[in-house]
Amino acid sequence: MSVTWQETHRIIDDVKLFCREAGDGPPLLVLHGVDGGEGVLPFHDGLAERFRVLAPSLPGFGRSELPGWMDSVDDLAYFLLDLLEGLGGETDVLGIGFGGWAAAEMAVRSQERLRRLVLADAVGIKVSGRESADIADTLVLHHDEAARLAWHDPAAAAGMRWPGAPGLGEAELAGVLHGLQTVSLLGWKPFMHNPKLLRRLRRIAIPTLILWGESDRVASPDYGRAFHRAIPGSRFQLIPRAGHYPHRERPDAFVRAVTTFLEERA
Amino acid sequence: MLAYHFTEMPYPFLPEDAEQRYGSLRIILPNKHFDPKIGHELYNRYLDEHEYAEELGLEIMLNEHHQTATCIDAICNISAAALIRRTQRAKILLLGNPLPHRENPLRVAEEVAMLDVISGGRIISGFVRGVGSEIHPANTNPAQNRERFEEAHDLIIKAWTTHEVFHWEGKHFHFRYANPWPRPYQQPHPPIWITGSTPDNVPWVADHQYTFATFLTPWDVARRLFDIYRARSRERGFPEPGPDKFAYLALCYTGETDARAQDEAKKLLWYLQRTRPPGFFQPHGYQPAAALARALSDTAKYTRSWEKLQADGVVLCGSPDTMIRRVREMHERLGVGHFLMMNQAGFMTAEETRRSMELFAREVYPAIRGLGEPQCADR
Repeated sequence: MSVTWQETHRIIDDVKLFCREAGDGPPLLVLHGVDGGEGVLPFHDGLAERFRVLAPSLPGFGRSELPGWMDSVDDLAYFLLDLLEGLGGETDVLGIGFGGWAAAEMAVRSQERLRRLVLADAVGIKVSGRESADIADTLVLHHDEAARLAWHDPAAAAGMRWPGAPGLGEAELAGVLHGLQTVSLLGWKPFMHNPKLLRRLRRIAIPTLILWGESDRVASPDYGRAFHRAIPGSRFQLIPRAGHYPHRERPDAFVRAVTTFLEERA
Repeated sequence: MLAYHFTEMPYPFLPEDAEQRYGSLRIILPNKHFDPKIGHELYNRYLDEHEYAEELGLEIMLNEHHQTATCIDAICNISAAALIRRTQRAKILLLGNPLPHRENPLRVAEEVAMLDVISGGRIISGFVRGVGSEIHPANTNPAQNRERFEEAHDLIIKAWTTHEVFHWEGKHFHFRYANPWPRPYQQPHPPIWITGSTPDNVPWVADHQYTFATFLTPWDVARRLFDIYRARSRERGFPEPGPDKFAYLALCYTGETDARAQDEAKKLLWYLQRTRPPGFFQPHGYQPAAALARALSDTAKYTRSWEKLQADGVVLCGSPDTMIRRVREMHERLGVGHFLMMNQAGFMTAEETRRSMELFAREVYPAIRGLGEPQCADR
């Protein structure tokens, strides 16, 4: 079944946010990670068969502008809460990777407009000691090195848009770099986490699924279990044969896990 | 024209496969490969060469880099302190202090002021953003590099020119009782120089009428940058900028004959031949995405041929007569009043470095010294 996507611009806090929207059903906000912000992927289509999907390019990614005042995930979380406020009612939120960090920061601030939460291979918390990194620094890596770390099957990563990817032209590369620049701005130090977030996760009282690629070597499944332990009543689920980007590597299993959870809790 | 002696103070005595094994001599080359005894000899050798530069009538230029074998001058204010009490006349150009990477800009204000006071006003205070490979050692946000630079700059200038206690609550820096002692010997403050290799910051430098320095930039590019400075100055109603506002750094070697110089100068290439992994040299956010995409797509900068490097003016080498001709050409094409000479790199020995410096000072410098402004020429 083919899905028709609409490209829209929403104005939130005077910022023009570029969005893709499709499907019918309960509203679902999809927040991308460092790998995305442009383009519709098969998992988007899969979700749009069951939900009214709203997939923005986060500010500073793709065609969405980055306002001068936004320089932290804290700013981003409040901005996204304003987006939900504008939608009215309650919205399910799926955050992937970096987008999962933003989703968790939204939820600890206010769940008034959040119905249920799915965090997939999310970053944002600090679990281990001061001399070890929970989150691999893929920002310094070339496409092939990043693929080895981030994918269960690195050969399947060939089409991923990342610096050094084969066949990536200058204009397309500039688009990718635009997003990575925003990742740097928002997540440089502390690297990809907020030291306060882990403790605050206990505030999350809505149904929450922690979904993780079994072979994730950017942020390990054990790191995912730390989210699970910190969020009361949350469920933890692994996706086999997938790395840090299960939505790309195993789109069918990913969509199934998300829809099963959300429909079960309907 | 003033000529400055410069070396990055390299530590080249590494396992042959070091670069291949670690991917770079910067940032991630473990410091187990630094032998403090060799380091002791190298620091003293390089500092001796700077003292010798003064003896020869040259000025002194220092810089700094962090976590790298290519430059063990990790803190230029420290090498300046070591030189000030051993020299009497030479200007000491710090080019420079990497402002975005310092947590407390008032410390920079104090350090530079102290050097200026001890030296009796011989300091030229360069402020730099730090090249991309300085981001990870300092772990400062690359996307905020420029705004940190500008705020730190504003704070330091305020500290040097406001002779009262003041308050600062900026975006990056906060002080309730800013009042650094000492203040500089040169009033209101030492000359300020800024570096650059793209047009991005040139208008800002021109607006402040600071000296703009560019390093190892092909002359046609350098000329464009200097012309942007000139045009901006006219736009803003400043007097036509003279040679004192422009500085150029080249890899330099003066030999007995052209043939010998061509041969011996090749040791300088060590500096350019190092690998530069983009993840560490061009961190995301350090420059605009479009500029980075262009840079990543163009890797020619460090793979230019020996002939091309000389044609571009990045390498200047030859007999004294050739050097006179080349420096005159540089002055004509660029209008620079400050000639920054990277006289040493890699494995170039102390003897080779000194011989080249001597030949330059004895046979080249007198012939080119009068180029440029009188205030530059007869100090």
